[in-house]
Amino acid sequence: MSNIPTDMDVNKRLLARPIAGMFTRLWTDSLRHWVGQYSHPMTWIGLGIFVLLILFSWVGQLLYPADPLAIHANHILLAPSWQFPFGTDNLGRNMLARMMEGGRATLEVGLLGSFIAIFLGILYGMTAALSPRWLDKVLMRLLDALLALPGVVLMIFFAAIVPLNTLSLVLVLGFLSWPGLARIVRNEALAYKERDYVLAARQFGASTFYIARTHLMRSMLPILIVNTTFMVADLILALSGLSFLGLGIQPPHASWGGLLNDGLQLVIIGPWWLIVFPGVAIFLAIVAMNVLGQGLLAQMEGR
Amino acid sequence: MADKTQHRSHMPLRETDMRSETTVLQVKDLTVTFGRGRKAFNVIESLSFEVRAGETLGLVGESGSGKSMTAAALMGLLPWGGKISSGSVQLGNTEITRLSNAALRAARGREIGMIFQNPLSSLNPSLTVAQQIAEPYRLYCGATDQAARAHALQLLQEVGVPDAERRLDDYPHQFSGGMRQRVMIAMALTCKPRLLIADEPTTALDVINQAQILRLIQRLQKEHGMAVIFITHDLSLVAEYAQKVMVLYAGKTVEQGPAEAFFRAPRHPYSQALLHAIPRLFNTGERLGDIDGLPPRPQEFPVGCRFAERCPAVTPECLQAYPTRQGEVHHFYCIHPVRGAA
Amino acid sequence: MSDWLKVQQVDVRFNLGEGGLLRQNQGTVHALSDISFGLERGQTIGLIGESGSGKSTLGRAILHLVRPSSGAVHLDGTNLTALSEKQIRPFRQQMQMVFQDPFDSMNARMTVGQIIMEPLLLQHIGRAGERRQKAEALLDRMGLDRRAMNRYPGQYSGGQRQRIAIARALTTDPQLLVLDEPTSGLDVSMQARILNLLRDLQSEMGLSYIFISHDLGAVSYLAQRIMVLYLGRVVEIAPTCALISNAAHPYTASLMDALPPMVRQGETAHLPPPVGEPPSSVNPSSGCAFHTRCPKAQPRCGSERPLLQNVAEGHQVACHFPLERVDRLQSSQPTGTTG
Repeated sequence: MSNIPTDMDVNKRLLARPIAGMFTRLWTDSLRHWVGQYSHPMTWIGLGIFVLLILFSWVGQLLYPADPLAIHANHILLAPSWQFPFGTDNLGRNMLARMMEGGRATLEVGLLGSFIAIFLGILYGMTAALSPRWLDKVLMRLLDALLALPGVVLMIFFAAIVPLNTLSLVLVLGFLSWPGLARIVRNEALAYKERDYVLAARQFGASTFYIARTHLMRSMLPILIVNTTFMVADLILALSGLSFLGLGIQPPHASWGGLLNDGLQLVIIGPWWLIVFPGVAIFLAIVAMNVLGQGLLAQMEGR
Repeated sequence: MADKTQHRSHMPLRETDMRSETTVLQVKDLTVTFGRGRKAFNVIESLSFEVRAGETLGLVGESGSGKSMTAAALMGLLPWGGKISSGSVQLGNTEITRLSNAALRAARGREIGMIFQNPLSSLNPSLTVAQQIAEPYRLYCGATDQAARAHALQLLQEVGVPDAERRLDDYPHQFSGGMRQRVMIAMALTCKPRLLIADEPTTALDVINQAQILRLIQRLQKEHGMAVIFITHDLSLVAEYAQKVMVLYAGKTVEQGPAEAFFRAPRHPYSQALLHAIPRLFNTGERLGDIDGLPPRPQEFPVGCRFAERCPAVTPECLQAYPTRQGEVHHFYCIHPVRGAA
Repeated sequence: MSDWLKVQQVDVRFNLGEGGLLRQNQGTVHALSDISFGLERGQTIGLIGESGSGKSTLGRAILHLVRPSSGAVHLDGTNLTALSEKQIRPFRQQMQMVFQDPFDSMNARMTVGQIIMEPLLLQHIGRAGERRQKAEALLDRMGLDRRAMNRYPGQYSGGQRQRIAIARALTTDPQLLVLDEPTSGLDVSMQARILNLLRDLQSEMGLSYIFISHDLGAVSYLAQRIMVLYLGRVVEIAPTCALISNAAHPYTASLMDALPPMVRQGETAHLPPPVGEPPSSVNPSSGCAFHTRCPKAQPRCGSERPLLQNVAEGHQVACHFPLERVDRLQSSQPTGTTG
């Protein structure tokens, strides 16, 4: 890498200095290192698709400000056209706008629900791993019991008794998903806490909290991220399932699962645009998250 | 073992001859390349050596020198992306670089045995010891299950595993480190190979185990008339067990010759440095010889002598071209060799 | 001449046995049994033993990473074993450890700078700028580029990582370093470099070392005294010179016999090699730990445990039939001189 700098290079460097100053903090050695480590093509594909879906749902609204709830009585069940790029439903509502609104709801539930699950999972799992043996056993038995409960049944049960808006669905799904993650966190933490570097930290006088926060979390981060991606996919699927049972986001608000459900009820008449768009969107979201997770896993194992 | 005559016989692949001075392996100008096109780089270049029946060659080098790549090349087990780009490897009188994959596998199974550094990761944890020892015997020597099992028992006894009959059906994790290494030796010897490659076989063991394993290999070598290539970074072991020494640095031979001549007067500065780096029991308080810096990576091999940037005797000529070979049987590649006895 | 570090009759026992709260213990591992020795400032003591001998455990027990089950460790007059975890904390600055596995002893997801500064952070020494300076100065001393501060350990070779580990151990200006097999797994020239570095640091800073290893050659390079452990017990302790020329315990002698001649540089004791494997350290038998493998074992060895006894000035052996100088010279000369 020892080229003699040309005039072009020198000019570029002079110009680049103030701009570079802004980005230097972001683009430090460390970021470059980690991006380099996790650059499996599947990772980028999955991330890319998911980011597109997010942009579609949130930024799309700014670019295409149609009202998802507006009813156009004389434009019922129209196939996609310039006026209604995704067609209209049986009440004449703009499907594109509804898809965007649905995207917001679905992705919110998927992402926020996962975060709640992870937060609780880490709290429980870490506590179990770092507590004295007897407490760990007790906590894990409790966890086993929780995991033995049929998730789907509970999901239906809670969804039936709770007001069905985004927030409550986020909480329900989040609270039902954390046990699986807790077990993973606890197992990983148990393995990592025996490592020499944790012992070294203890020798320097580290408290248990410091070890958990600094060493264990750092070591577990890749596994956690991978599991998060799978969990997001699961929650989106779960929400769609709930919508089928009429327990998802309630009308007139949209979710992709709900739109799919509505569309299927009219399938005899044959409006493909009511089924294909929400179906493809759900499919893409789940696949994107799975591919992202697989890409990260492949990167980690390949090391 | 300084036999000047070289008797190469034209024997079919299966025959082993304990008494003759047969050349079991002859390697000429072996070069292993990774990558393609402009990004191609050599991990070992122009290696030449031979090993005779009953003889041990000590292949010495540090990490990154290419010694394990050499073993892999001989076994046909180069990692993905690597290939023997030039040179010849003759096992007996068969040129194995030109064999098909199937023929190579057969030759490898029957003629060459290999033992690795870490027996825990080289043994299959889900198969019993008997199964693993018997497998090559069944596959390559065409034995029945029963015969193979009896053979496995005999081998276990030969390598000194106590209570062998009972331990035949144990799994690798039920053995201690030293015992596992013996199991691996038994596996390597299943088909009575003519060549045994031992890649750092004792690095993971403590001193007493190390001595036991090496003496075992030595005994088995005498009994079976095998040629042994002993790959290590520890010159003190080579002094004890090998008749020939070959020192590798950054993919090339820097010094090579009969062990007696080598240890009496090593000529290459790197060989000298390695010898001076070994801590001995009765040291008079003088410093251990150490070498600054790190060896170059294969992608960055310089044009001239590869040891030049770390060599205490370096001069500008050293950087211009790779030193030519000097010496006959005991030869080295250096324009400022060390003089006199070590 | 009082010792600065004094280890007195330290025992370390681990209880085996998993299972529920009501299940009984399945045995006790006697990792260490009645270990005593002293160390002066600026001196090195070598701990020799094979895996399972308890040498690593002893290193950790001295640092109180593992609590001794009985016995005491005194540092400069203070009885550390009597202190609680909180009270020991300030003493941890004075004693540090270099671990065996350079890959595992550092968190691969932290930068080298963070790794080296971690002890300072945890002991609340200095401020951010000062810590950074100290870390950089140590990197310089170790012969590593300062840019390492922002790089990750994965980008460095084993020998370099071990030097980073040594730098980390030195940040709190300790007076005692426990070196747990610091050079195993390294190439011979790397090992020489680290040994030379350790030697220089000791004379520059007056450090005391506890050098744990199975490599007698490396240990004899740095240590003034050597203690040989077998299955958690001291079998021999002597000044280095005395140990390597007149090993009195059959185990020590067999260790030296097993060395390659180039390292040993002398006659072997001409003993038959030890047989078999070390026994398990769970619920150990009475008698000498080595008797099952000892080529000179007698019936007494199996029933009565040998205690440490003096055979020469500063040279102690735990054996009923220690080797005499006579034994060793007899094989090479017709008449021997008595010790």
